Amino acid sequence: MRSIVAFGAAVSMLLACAAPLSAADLPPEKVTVAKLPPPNPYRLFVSDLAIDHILDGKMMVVDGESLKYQGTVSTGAFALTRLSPDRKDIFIATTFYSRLTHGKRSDMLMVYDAQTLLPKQEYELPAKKAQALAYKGTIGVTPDGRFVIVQNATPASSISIVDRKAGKFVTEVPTPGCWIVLPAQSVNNRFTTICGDGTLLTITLDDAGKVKDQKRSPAMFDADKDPVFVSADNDGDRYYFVSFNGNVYSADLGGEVAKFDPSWPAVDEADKKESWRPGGYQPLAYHKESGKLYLAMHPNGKEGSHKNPAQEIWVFDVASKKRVERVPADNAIAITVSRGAAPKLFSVEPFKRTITAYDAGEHLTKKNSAEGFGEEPMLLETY
Amino acid sequence: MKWFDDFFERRTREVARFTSRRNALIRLGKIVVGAGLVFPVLPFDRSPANAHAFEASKDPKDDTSCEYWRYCALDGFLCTCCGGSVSSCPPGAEVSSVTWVGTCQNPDDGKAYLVSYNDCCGVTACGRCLCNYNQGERPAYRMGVHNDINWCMGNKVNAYHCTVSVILGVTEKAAG
Repeated sequence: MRSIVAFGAAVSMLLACAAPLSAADLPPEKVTVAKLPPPNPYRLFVSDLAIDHILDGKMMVVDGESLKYQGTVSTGAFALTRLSPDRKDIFIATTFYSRLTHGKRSDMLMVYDAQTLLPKQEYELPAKKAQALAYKGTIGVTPDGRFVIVQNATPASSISIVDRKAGKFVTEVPTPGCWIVLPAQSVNNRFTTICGDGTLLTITLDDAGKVKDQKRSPAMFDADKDPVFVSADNDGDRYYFVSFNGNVYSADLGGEVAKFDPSWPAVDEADKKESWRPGGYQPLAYHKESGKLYLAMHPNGKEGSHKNPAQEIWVFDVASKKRVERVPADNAIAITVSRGAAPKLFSVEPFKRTITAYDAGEHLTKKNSAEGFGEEPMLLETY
Repeated sequence: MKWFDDFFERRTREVARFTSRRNALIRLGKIVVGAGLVFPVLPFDRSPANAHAFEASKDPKDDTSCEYWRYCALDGFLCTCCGGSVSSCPPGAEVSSVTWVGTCQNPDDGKAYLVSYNDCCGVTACGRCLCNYNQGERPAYRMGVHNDINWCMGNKVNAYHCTVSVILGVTEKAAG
């Protein structure tokens, strides 16, 4: 500390001795910390696995209009990330070890302020948090922001519930053979998970965050013949899913038990001949105001191609179940669409880590793109 | 939850260890064998994007290549590029206690083999020879054939380092 004081004094003396400014000199500057501008619906939060140094992952904040890099949040190892419903907070369920690669394992739910990007709260979790890729829904939040619901894996699947009102982890719910968290939107105490037998398991909590009720639906899909991607999107209680073969499923997750609609194919006979299939890590996005569903699609699909980058983005009108557009995609492995009026669709690709922005109004129109976002960007969420 | 963890771990090991477990193997085999067991195109080789020094070959018999036949459902760093071998973890790492499995065809004998993808644990990420094949891979509601998760999760020391590919046995021809 003493040396720093001495160094500071030396710098002050040097400054005092500096020559007086002439008109051509640049003025001395003061170091500051930048602030994010006021948010807009196009602010983009991008989770990066950073697999080369996987213990030190990050979330990037990007201006969705200029595609300018705006800031970074440290997220630790295999972080599962989600914005709060009011977009004021970033939830990060992550793992830290006391000796970086070993020592005591601490699983934490970190809460960051989504505007200052500073940590504001943390909750200790059981050391079972899924050390998984940050698929959308590996962490969920009830609409009132009270219960944060975190996917666990040991590899046995279970769910940890944090009650922000009580300020602590409150319960663990076994969910054997099931995965992902899909919170109901019309009530504040319910979520559903997708099970390997094709059923949807709905769990209702009591006011203390303990399990009040669990009800399993009949099978919505055949996990052997037509497995669904876990990355879903929703309009209120209605969640949309797409399967490896390109069938669209939807379910109302507001009640005690999930109720689903008839599935419909996003690929017709001509598409099947070219083996068009959905692919990637976040292959589906839904814009509720326009009723449009977006799918990241690749041709020549086959067993094992379900994470392939997309060659096209297909746009469907959900009411008529008709494809209304197909647009070239920049090798997208994740897509999302902004909320509200004048939507923009964003995609990210894995080679040059390019983010591409499209206007997603009446027509899907590519606007701009920029390269170099992180190392393995694979989850997108808008403000 | 301890009983449940033990149950799952035991079940995973049983699937992996006993080739006489016809049902499990046939079910796993069908996923892949039914699809014709063609070698998939690598979804994306992220190495150039990350400026990795190592330039992998495309030889299905080169175990430092993502195209090596055993790696048909491997997502991670090849231990063969990190000081280990196709069946051994690099020095200083420990073997994961739980694994995911794939079914891959050996080009030499034409047989389909059940392969266990053990992660190696407790050392920082190797960062070399990142591969991503997903033949027979499924979302985590089918955990035993899921590869987007750290299979070091069951170990006391569970930082992810790299992945090996260990032959467990020949799957039955009937699976085709």
